[in-house]
Amino acid sequence: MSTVSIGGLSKRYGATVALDDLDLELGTGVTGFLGPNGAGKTTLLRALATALAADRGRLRLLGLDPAVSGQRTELRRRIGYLPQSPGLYPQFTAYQLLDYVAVLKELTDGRRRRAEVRRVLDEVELTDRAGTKVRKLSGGMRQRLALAQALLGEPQLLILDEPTVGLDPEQRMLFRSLISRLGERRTVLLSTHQTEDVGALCERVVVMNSGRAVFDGSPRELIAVADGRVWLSTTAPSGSRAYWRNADGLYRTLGDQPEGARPGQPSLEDGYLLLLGASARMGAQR
Amino acid sequence: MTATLVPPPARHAGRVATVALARAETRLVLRSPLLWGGAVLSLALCTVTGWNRMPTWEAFARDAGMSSLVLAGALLLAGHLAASRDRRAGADSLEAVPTTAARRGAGLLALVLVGGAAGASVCLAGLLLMLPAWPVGRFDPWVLLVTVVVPATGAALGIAVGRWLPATAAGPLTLVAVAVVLAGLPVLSTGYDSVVWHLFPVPQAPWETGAARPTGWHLVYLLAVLAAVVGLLWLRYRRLIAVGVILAAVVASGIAIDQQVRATPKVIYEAMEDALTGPAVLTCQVHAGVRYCALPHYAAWIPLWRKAVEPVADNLPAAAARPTVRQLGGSDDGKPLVAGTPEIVTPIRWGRHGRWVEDSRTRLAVAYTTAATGLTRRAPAADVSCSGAGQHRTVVALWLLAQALPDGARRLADGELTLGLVRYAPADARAATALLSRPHDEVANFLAAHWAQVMDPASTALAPLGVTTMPPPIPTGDAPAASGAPGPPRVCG
Repeated sequence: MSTVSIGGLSKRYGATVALDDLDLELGTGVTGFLGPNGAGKTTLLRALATALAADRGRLRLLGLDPAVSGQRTELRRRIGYLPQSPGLYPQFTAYQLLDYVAVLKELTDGRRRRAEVRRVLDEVELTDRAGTKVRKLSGGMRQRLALAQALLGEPQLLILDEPTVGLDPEQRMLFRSLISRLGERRTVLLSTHQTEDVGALCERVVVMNSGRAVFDGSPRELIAVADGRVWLSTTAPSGSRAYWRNADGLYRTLGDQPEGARPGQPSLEDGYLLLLGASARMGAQR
Repeated sequence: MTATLVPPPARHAGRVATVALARAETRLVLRSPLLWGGAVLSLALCTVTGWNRMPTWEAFARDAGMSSLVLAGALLLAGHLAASRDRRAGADSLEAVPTTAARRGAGLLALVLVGGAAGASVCLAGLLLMLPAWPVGRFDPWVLLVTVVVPATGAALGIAVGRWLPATAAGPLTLVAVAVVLAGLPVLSTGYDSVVWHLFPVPQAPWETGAARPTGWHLVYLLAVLAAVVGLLWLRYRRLIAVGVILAAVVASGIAIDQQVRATPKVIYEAMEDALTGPAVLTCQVHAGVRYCALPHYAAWIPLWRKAVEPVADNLPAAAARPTVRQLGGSDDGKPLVAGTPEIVTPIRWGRHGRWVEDSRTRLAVAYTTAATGLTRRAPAADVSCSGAGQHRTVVALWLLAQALPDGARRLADGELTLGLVRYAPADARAATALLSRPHDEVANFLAAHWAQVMDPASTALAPLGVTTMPPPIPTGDAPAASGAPGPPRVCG
């Protein structure tokens, strides 16, 4: 059963098309949104988070229509949103910030609100930093705090816009662990540039380009896009720019087989890059 | 990291959520150094301004009111910072919370209540810091409420500006603009009955005491301004209601200002002054043969005056006239309460600590002494000094004063004792010192027996006590100076 239903969603910023007649049906689990800068990922997530109104199209989230004022408010009670730039109040302590956001999320009972704040602090492993001012937290801690505010109130729909950006590998692992658990019973929408995160976390991946979904499937299916199109060679291929030298000293080429090259094991990133290349060519032809 | 599923916490919409938000905003502003700094500065200003004089409600209301402007300024900045914190931090995450912008605006209005409570607390703390002294004068609750409404208005203005102009600089710039406007109001005012005079948030008493002050209407004006500022904030969310509130507030403030202008006379006429501070309204008490007459609500100061007067009066012989001590609030028409009875006037100020209280006591004791000895007819008189040099009553005045004032004998010997506007010569001081060296009863009995003679300006009646100073010739009437050049001082007659 889909918890997110998107039909013909469009949004323009002047002459720039951010979302172009987008259709998607999303259900429980972690869905990753991949795409280059300007693909429309953030616009889509902002629209899903009710922070932005689309120009045209239909949205139904958790059975509610965000275009209707009363339903939008109800929807906001069930959404957790981590924007690309969370903008945490630097002069607040971690606890104060979460307590204040909890009030804004209508957790009005003081005792239960405090318990909820402690719970999310524990979830993101910031309990020992509860009294630290936000401005004194490291970048990774701030990102975890931003996630914690999104988790307040047990949201049914979690929208995370590039949550792992700027995190070190250990912190990313912690994030993945948390998000994967959250996705077991909720709908988690995750926008990222990190194909490893998508491969590690998502049951479903949507690749966006120029406001459209150019791919919608499982990570395995995205990898399959690169089947037979990844090549390894000992010399640099001539006439191609889509190659790089890997740690083994071999040249990895995407696309047509260079002379003397042997097939390589495709990755999610290969599929993504090849898909975008094809998408770009299609866009150019259009 | 673990992800656990727990039952969703209880949520409440509507009024409960607004109250919870208001409480959260209250907790935040209570941690604001601006609030505490403003409150401390306001209290310090209020206390320092009135520290050296006995409190009166008129002076306290003015001091507390003016100090509340400082608190209002601090709250304006705090309110602006609170209202603009999302923009400052770029807090996009709060775009998707169920609390609407209007409710957040309503929650921020808690700062208005905090501002009012802070103003009231500072006012109360200012009063408590005066203990054990307690203000005298006419208590006017309306004017004291200014200290509540002004900081509340400052907070409301900060919030409104923060919602409309969230740029960080907008708060301080608004504060400067308001300060310039307020500072300009008294300059632009053409008189007590001008509209501009009454626009100033703190009512300035044109007449020190007693005069009708339309402070109730002033409070209405301030509340209307507060309502207009809140309306300005609400204009962002509920346009129609906000416009209605602003229009109503403008009308109410116009009516209030008009009523104040009508109720405040441009000048105070004699008949009006008589009605406010004249003999009919004075509270008079007689203690140890001395009549003390206080302005309405100032009777609590009579014991303070007694402390200054009685050390002098106790040494006066029974035959001596005991001047009346009269408190004066407005202008001095020079008419005594009882014709032919000497009178001294005391103002509506009295020192409270250390040298300030000593100064007040000394001034009153000197005035009483010179009046009791006939050196002045009404003390302190107009700014005209006279010379009592050589007169035996001057020696008596110095003798009386040296006993009445702390360390008086030494001060007399060192030439530090003053008789106010009455001048004396070193020989008079020496003669008074010689009198002091005689047994007190001997001098007192002599004065009791010869008081009328001693009081004669030309008398040498103290010669049996060894006083050899010679009075100057006493002119008849006040002869004008022959030329514009300053001559010797008039002889006290």
